[in-house]
Amino acid sequence: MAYVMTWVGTFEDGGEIVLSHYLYLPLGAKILMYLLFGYRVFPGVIAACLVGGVVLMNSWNGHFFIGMLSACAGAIAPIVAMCIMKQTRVSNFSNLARVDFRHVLFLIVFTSVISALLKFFVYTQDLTLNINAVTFITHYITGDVLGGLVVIYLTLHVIVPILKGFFPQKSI
Amino acid sequence: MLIVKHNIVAFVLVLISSLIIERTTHIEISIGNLLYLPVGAAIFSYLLFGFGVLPGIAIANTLIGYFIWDNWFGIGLTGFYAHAMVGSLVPIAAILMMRYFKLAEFYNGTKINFRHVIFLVILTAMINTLVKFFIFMGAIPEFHAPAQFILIHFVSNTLGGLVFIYGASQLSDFLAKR
Repeated sequence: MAYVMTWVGTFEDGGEIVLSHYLYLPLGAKILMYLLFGYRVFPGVIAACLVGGVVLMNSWNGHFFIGMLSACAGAIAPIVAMCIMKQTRVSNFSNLARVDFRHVLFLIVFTSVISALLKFFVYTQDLTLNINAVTFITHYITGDVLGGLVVIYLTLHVIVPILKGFFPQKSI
Repeated sequence: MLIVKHNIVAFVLVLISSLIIERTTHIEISIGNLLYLPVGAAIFSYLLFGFGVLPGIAIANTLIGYFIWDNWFGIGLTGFYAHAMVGSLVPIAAILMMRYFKLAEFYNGTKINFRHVIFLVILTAMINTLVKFFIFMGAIPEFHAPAQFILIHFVSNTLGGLVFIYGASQLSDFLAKR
């Protein structure tokens, strides 16, 4: 499921790796998957990122190795954010029923910043890419935050009510 | 009168921490250093006395930048924005953000919750680094290593914050026991 969600999110990505999009859905899908199923879905998430990059983004426009590293950074960022929040005991995402929704909102923002910075460090290793640092970071953070919010909002306000309509006797 | 005393204490804390790093490490505006204690002093002051100590912290940062760092190493007003204004306001923004998202109670009764403070330091360092990066990027012509700037500033802010707050809390515990 993590694989499918992340892959679906990659469909709207046009493949401009140094600019990103203003609505980057995969980060929200990754966060949702980690929240729902825990860190054990990491292989599925990273597989989806790699296949999405190779198939949909034409191997990151020819920058395969850097693109692959950036996909790994994108898959690891939510885990890093959740681990920091858990270790410092500001929030514990292990019991989803008890999680405050504000914590999830903060997690999206925090993950977006970590993901953008990790990807920036990866892309600056490739000297052939002409990266404007400010544009890169602001675009990635904006895209990740908006995409994350859209995915979480759609899940809570569209998908869950539909599932409740189909399976009224189950607790979703 | 109490707020004036608190402001004086915050002023002295930021001033001393800035002088310590000035005397012991090498600071360059486009790189920074690896142990930036004034962030810790600012966070510690805000946690201890509240947001009323903002003037004391801002004045200390301004005096250090103008006189000790020679008008922020020659970049003037940009340095003032990035060091004095951002450096003084970012800890407040981080504390407010953590309160808004209901992430932390910084005190367990009378004792400080150090794990929550660790997160506050990390968050402050992250915001501080990004805002300073955006300000300096357009202002410093010889800005060649953005990744290095971000890494070093983040590490120095985090380490400086943790070292100062841990040291200050241990010292205050020791003094309270005596």
